Amino acid sequence: MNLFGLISTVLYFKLAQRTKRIPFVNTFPPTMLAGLALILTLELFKIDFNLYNESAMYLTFLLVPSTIALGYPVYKNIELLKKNKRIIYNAFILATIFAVISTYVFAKICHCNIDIIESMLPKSVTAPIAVEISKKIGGIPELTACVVVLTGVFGAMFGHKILKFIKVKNDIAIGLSIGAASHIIGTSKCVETNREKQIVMASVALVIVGVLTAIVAPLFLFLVKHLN
Amino acid sequence: MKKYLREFWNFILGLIILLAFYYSSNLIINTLHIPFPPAILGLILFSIALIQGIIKEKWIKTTCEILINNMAMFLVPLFCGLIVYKSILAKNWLAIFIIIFATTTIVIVLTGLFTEWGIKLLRLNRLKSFEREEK
Repeated sequence: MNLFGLISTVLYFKLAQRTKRIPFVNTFPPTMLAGLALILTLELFKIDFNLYNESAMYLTFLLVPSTIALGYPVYKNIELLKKNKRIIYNAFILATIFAVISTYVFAKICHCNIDIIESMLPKSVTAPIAVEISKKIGGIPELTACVVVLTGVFGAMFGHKILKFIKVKNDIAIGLSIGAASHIIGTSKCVETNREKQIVMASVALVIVGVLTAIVAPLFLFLVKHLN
Repeated sequence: MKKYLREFWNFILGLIILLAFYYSSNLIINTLHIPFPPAILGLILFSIALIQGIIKEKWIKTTCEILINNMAMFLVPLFCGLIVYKSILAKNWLAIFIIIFATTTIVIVLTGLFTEWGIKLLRLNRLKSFEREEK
């Protein structure tokens, strides 16, 4: 059995996690660094991707139980959802609908093909959920994974700055919008601010917006296809 | 040693529970023919089971923590899979970047403002009703 893919992925990822102290490099998440390094390695030594994926696909399979495991943070913070209930739920729905519609509109403006639109629709959702949605609506899971990571990086880099610029100061509002727009990578930036409410709100928002997107994105695509 | 063994056993037990949720929601979706990702139905059912107390927190705590902490690593092979689709990325990279910049900003701004104002309004209303009661 060839374990090359599995071992190299874990090794590269653990190495990429060590870059936390290097300035500039640490704005990018370890997934992206390890991924780019692996792509370079595969290209440089002309290793076939299928040979790599033979054992690396076991890691990809673990995305399924991790999706289900996301229910745990929701359960842990269920009390927070009960406070300010109406506004928070409306914000989740608003964020989901705006994410899906704006992605579609901008993709149409840029004249993207339908398969690219399909793989970009779930882009503001946490990766395992986004990959599942993309598979279901006919997108390319690999492209979805890349776009999701890039969205997260953008949100983590500029999310707090944008919110500061438009003078949003409430911790619940900050956590919710960052969690809804840039999922777990943005949330890791909230962790650095050390504000309990922000972190909790972001980690709940990313799960619920993910589930809502799984409902909204296929419905929206269905409507668009039948109206044309 | 004993501690590690117990930790490992806890992890396996939790994983079995999570996969049981996945396969049962897979079964539900296949029999009902709904176009919905099975893992996400599993997530919904799992959250409900946890909140209702059907599943005890201690059964799945270790597994959930390990999986969520390492979720970024499970994504790396998919990210590498981009190697197969590099022609698509090469053709559309500018569009993809524009879409990501624009839509993420829109979502952050709108959601942030909506929640901020909503909470402020709610607090204002609460204060007003409080004053009314005092009168």
